Amino acid sequence: MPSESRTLPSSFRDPSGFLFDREGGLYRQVNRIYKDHYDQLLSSGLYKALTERGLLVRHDEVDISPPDPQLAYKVIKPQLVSFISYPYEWCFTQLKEAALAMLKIQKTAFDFGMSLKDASAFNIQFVDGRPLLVDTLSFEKLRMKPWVAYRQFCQHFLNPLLLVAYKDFQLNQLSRIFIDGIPMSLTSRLLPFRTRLRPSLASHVHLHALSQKYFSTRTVRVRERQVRPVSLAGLVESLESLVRRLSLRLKKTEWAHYYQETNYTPEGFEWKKKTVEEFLDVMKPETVWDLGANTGVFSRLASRRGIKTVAFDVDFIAVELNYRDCLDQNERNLLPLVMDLTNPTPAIGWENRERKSLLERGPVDAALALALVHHLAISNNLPLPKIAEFLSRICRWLVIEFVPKTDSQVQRLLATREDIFEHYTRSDFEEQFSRPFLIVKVAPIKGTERTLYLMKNYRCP
Amino acid sequence: MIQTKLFLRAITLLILSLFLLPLCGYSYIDLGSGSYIIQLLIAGFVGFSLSVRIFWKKIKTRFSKKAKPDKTLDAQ
Repeated sequence: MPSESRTLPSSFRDPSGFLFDREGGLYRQVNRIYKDHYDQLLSSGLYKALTERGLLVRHDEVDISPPDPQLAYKVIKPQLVSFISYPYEWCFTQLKEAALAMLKIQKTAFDFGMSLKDASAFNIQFVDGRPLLVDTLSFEKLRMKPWVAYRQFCQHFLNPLLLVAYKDFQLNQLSRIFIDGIPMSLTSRLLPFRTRLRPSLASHVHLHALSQKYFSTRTVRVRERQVRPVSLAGLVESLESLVRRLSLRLKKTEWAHYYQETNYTPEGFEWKKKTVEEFLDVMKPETVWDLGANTGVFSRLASRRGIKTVAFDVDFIAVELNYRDCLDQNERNLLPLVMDLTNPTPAIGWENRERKSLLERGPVDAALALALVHHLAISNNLPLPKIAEFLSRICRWLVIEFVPKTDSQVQRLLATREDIFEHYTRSDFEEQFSRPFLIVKVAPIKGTERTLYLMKNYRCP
Repeated sequence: MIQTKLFLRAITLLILSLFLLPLCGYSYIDLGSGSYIIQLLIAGFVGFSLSVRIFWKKIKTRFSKKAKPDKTLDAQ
């Protein structure tokens, strides 16, 4: 393999090909073993149909030397995804939209004599606000055999959706533990009894789990069975109708109604928005991460300027509301994601390198940390130097709001705990943040005791 | 209600057939074999329902097509 190519650590399972980067560009080698399937994808019109509908990533065939010439058939250059997100960072509607996109792709593939051989949720990315299949090598010629990716679809999409819809939204985090999807047996055990009375759930989940259990302890032989196309279509339709009917009843959470419970005056709130916009004019970022974005009011100041913005929040319901707004308003530049900044997404999978940590996906051009620092420092006992260090590792520019102890919101946080935060003062804050950052602008927020800062990271040019 | 009853009957059949499947063939199966078998059963059932629906739709279309010229004749 030429030394300048580096195979991506997540791209090793499929013998059909692999992703590699070379001189900052991302490419995919298509192996000879996959030649017939790849040619059919293009010649059948499936590639054209799916890319026109915005369901499959576009690519160009390029004339560069492949990293592994003995195996190579072609090298393609896929369209780049601005931010890679993972299923355990998605809200309910994002996962549902991704599941429906996967089933729509499968139905379209049937029409062109092909089928999905992979239905991994990691193959879906959100691009321009919509789910997109980013693995071009996921298709194979349609054989009259069972859908090989059926179990994977259930484990990656159906099970987390059901657990969130029927049990608790916090169970979406199980996808982080089970990298190949939530097991059928666990889902079956966790779901309430009433789900056994719904025919589609009884068959796709409970009987499925029972069947797995029964056959896992027996060495049996099965006939190579033929499946009629109408049966395959029926299976996909059955899954689609099941997923489409799932909904999430929104409960009131700590953060989802945050903006109705703040202590800003309307003028102060507008002033804060205007100041953030002025800071954006100075920074001119191409990418923004809004940390603790809630339902994305401030994220939209960036995304509506055409800046690719990721809105992180720990609150699943706030992210759900934010994504629903994105869908309603057809927003293309905003990606809401669930993220606990006190325990950000770690690197997981084989060698701890298969799925990236949050830090590995940075640094971002600019981060917004508005009304966040007091939650990290006081609710989570994080010392200011630690917060400054973390933020300096993820962004080139930083817009940060300091909320002093005298602020009524901080007083609420301190109401039930001893005040052990003697170093939580504005001067300490400025001193600690001045180490990794240059403080460019300081702007007290009108009508409050809070202050907005614009900072530039010394480490990132 | 009738639909629910039909579904419940179908599930009973699924459970029974789960344990009565002919277990002969060419290759040893792995842990995914349970998924493979349940898929065959579901696909068989929903495929049959879909076939019936398509067949019924065809019949309806044929009769509605025949009915139209009659109406035209009546009108003349």
